Amino acid sequence: MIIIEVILSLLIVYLISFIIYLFGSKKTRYSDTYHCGERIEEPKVKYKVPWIYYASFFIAFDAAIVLVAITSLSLNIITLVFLALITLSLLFIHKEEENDI
Amino acid sequence: MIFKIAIILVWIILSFIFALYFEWFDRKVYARFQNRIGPQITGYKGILQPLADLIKLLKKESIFPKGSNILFIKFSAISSVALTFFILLFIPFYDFNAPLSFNGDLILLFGIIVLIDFLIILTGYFVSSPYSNEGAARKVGMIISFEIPFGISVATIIAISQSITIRGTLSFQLLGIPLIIFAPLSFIAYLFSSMAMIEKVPFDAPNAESEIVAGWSTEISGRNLALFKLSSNLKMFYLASLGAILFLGGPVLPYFNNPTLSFLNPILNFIMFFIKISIIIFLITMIRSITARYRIDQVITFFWKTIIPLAMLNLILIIIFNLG
Repeated sequence: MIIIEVILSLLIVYLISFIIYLFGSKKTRYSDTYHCGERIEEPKVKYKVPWIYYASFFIAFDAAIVLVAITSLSLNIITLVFLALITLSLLFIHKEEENDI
Repeated sequence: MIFKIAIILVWIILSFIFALYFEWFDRKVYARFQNRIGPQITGYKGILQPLADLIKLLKKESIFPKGSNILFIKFSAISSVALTFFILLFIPFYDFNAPLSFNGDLILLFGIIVLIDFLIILTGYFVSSPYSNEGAARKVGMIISFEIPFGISVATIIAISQSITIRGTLSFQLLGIPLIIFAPLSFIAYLFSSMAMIEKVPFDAPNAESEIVAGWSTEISGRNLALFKLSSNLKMFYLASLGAILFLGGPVLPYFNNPTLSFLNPILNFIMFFIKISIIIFLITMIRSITARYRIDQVITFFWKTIIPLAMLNLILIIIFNLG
């Protein structure tokens, strides 16, 4: 039943958003890319080695947070150890990053 | 089923009205902090200004730069509004009842709010403009920064209330104590993460006017921009509502359904909730009035070196307390 309700709600919200969209002007025009004074080139993808640490920590944390959120329902020491470990890992990112970014 | 549809429609209309009202509130308070008057022409004290702005944008011509993925931009604009309306269906305005509620809804809401940000990133990349691409790149940096503390604050609330539903967290607060008492650091993390999510100063690097014109939305115009702006207003209302529910007791504190005030109860509960949302939006506006923009690397550093450890400390303390 709840799945039907969720799907129905999604359909309704999309329908309403589409109606708001249709209420707007349909006039469309194509133009050159905006440039203020001088034309600027497409930016190259910025890459800094220290950012890799943040990206990897982000992936690890992002997965960990959902796990912690669910496991914290049943009180167990493994969650605490897990949290302590990822908090300790933050100390390493501090050392690596202090003068780099 | 018809009753359910009617409830959903009422919720959407209310969310729309409140989102525009709080946009006005935000602008008005921001103006007062800067010794200005703020919007005052359209409607009483300018209260209809956000609606006027929305209609004006909707009626404007859409201009796309050549080489952009127009279909995706349109899809993204509609989806960002639709998904924000969808997550607002989980917010109870006057008691425990919201149109949608199921076991694990807090985790779902956490996922969808980030999905909307991913739509924005993809929009920035699909517009053929260097400003949009730069804005999208900065938005990626922002997500890496705010998503973790946002998740940790929600996880802390789950750990305290022992429930992964909004209804469960509200029931826990019926004991009479708002969860901010147990999780003040998480509230700070939640507040800053919310500001980053809605790109408010000092975390407005993805659309920094003085650097990259309007960031990811530089080349978006007309009704597409109107929908993105509406989505942003809805998101601010949603985050303030969720914050009020998770940390301040939502509509159930300081009292809930006083037996002597039977028919007035829903209205009084709603007023309580409304005041709490206003407090959170006031805090957001105050912080953005007194701070200057952070560079994107400063944002990342701030969140990873200050906010995440604070939020994590609160979570660890709660789990130790629970174990004890």
